[in-house]
Amino acid sequence: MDHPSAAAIFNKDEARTEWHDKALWYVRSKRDLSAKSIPEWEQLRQIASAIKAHALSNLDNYLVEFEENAKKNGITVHWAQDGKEHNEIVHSILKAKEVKKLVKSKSMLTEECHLNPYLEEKGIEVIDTDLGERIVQLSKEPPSHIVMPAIHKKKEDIGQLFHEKLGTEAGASDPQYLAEAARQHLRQNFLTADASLTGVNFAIAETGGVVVCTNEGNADLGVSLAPIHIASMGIEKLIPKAAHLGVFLRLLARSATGQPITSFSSHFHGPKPGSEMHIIIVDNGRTEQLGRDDFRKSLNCIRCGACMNTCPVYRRSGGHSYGYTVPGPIGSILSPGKDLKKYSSLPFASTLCGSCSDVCPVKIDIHTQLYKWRQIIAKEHELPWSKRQAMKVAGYMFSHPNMYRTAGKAGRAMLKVTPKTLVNGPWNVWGKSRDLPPPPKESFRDWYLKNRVKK
Amino acid sequence: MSSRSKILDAIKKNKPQLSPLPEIPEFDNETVDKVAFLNEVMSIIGGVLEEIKDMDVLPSVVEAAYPNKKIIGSNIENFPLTTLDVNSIEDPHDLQNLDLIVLKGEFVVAENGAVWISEKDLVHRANAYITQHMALVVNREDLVWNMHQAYKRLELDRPGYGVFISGPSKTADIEQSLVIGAHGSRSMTLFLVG
Amino acid sequence: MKVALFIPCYVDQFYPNVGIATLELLEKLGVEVDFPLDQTCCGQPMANSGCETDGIGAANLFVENFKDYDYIVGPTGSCVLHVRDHFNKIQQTEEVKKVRAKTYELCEFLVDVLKVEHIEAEFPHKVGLHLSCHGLRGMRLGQSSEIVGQDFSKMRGLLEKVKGIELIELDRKDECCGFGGTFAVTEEAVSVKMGKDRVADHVRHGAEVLTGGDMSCLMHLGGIISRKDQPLKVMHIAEILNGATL
Repeated sequence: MDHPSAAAIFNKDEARTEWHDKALWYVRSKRDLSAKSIPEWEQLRQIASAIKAHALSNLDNYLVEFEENAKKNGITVHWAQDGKEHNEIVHSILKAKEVKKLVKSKSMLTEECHLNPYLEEKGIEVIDTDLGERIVQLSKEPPSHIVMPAIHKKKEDIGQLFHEKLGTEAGASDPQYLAEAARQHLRQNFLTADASLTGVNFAIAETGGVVVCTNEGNADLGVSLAPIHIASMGIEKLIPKAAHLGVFLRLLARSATGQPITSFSSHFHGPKPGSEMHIIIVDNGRTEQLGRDDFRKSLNCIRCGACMNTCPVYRRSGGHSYGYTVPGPIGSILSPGKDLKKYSSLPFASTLCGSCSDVCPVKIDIHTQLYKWRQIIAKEHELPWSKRQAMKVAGYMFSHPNMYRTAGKAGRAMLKVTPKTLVNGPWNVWGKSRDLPPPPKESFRDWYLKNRVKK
Repeated sequence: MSSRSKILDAIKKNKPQLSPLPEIPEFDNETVDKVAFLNEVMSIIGGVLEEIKDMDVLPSVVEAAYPNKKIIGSNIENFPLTTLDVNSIEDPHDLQNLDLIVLKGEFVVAENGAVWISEKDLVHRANAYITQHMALVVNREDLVWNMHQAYKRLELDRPGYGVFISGPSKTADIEQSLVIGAHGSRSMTLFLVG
Repeated sequence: MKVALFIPCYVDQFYPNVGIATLELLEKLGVEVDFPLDQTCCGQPMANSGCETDGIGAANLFVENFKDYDYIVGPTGSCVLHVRDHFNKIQQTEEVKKVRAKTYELCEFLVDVLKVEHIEAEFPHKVGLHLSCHGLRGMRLGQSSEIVGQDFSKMRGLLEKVKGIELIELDRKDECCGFGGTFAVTEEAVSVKMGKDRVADHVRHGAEVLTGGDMSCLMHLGGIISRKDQPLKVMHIAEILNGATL
């Protein structure tokens, strides 16, 4: 389903749309307060953007340096060209140790690779341990937001789900109560898991380690108990030096939720004693994006989700309406590079208002990239035929002043004589919920000729 | 050809011209009252700041803050409230009944309340996450302003582990309602000594 | 100073009063204004739909119409932004470069070029200012709420010079109205919801008039107001600055 159709369904429940919009606007407001408490905020964004640009321009060397240092730290490093290879590597690590249960912390990359169904098919139980992720896992849905995976669900929905799956009291919807039930349920899983998998927020070339940020402490609880730690990362997570974390950790949580930093910012530089640690470095289309001059900067993304929280379209259409692992503005510039045809409606799911670009902590020119994807989509014939033809006609008309004036006059005249009920028929999408302006008797040009041009 | 070389080759082919690495200023704030700022931050992040004059009073203030805790561990040598010697534990799963962990941290960052603890001080990584409650102890002279200064001063354990802890474990995944105690610590008190 | 008036196509056709207000305002401020008669459209609708190449004819015609003027001024942030940012798709002759650099949004021209200190207008009403995105984030006619720094708004500054005006504060000071060109039709559901929310913010704070620098946003918001028969009127900022009455 394309974005407009899914969004139209979402908007059928107007009260719920408003609830969703307000929940996310609240997060955006917290971000504003938090960002504004730092006078050097704009400078930090500039520095962060430049560090990412630099890292991408030297990425091969940094990856090699990272691998070398990680090995010195006792970490096994794997390379995967795509999601399939990534999943196979994860499985081979788990199979070697006869792992039955894997606890996972949040990783958009494993969502992108569809790791969970792959492992489940192989008989491995996968438990997502981030509360939001556990909620969507139990309800068999994908996350609708990269930081708040269950933001689309009301507490009553979650109460019902937990009643069915975790045996909480029927009708209970108090967040404190539900979170406590999840804590008890997940703790049992932490204690019985024989492997853990985490995502990676940052990988440091200089030191050969990775940083994982969580508020719940779920990544660490998993890693610190289970004898195997697998960390999956996209190649773009590399930063040159540990000192650069000072910049990114100041920006990340403030942009994401308005917190000054996440509760836990964990620096993994090797397995705990008696355990093993693996890092899987994944491409899955990223090197291709690196080669696109206009879209390379999308690889700056640190997955804070601020562009989703600020996007007036995302807030009023929900993450699932995008149909891609990463929803919202950033997803709409990443997805066309993966499958132009399938995601051709996403770059148009924007008014190009530019709020995403202004909020982005690493200064990705998101709305400019949306505009550029639109040009490519039209060129590659992925636009609806009627729209394409309309633009051709408009282009021709606007190149010919006489034709433009005649058409304008005819249009105004027609609107004047047509009854409003007819104008706003089902063929007029504009008029479904909006009136057209009453047609004036003359154009500005006509007025100007009468009132300013001396005959 | 291995996936490794294929990926590295693709990067070589597709990467842009080398762009310069920026300098990072320290962004120090000499006028700010760091302790007052930290105090405010701690309340935002769901923690509590308590200033104490020396280490001698620590046991009594910890006991006052956390009365009736049965299983207490610590990385402080001969800490009198200790009931579980975490050094003697081999399997971290055996820490699962820990009620309170009292940990000496290396330093704290005023702008975000983050306390740096490295693996050697944690004894077990799990100590910081499996516990029901957490008390962190940092010397007043080990208070820095921001994260840039923090990274200047910290030494990463390599191989090893280290973590910035900023308040208790928390979640807002249900309707943005803040719940303290998602998986690990249900409360966190930071004792600033000196 | 030779100044040309640029009137966007839909303003020409549907909102001649906005064109008239712009022209009269500039004349009042002592500017000699010319209206090149063969102007049509800047080409933005095609470009934002992904059909940049279909807008090339319009862009070339724009340059041809306006190349001989010192300044080109239009009552729109959106179309002016298109001229400045997206005329990079046609061959960059000296004329094209000049036209791109010298095309101004009306308020920007009043503030930055004419350095207007005084506005001869009275408007004793509660007014909400809708900051259109292309003017705000594209042309930086003001500080967007996402950016950390000194707050400013060229439009607000001008309105504050109008006698008797009361500018209301909104809950969301610069959220998009949901027009977005063809977005208004292709993403009808979201577009309308955004517009309704934007109108509601103004109604909630007691605005009698909703104003802004882009008639396209105002056409969309006005269409919603009219359909729902709400107690609110839309007016282009040029009309208020030119001394219009309610």
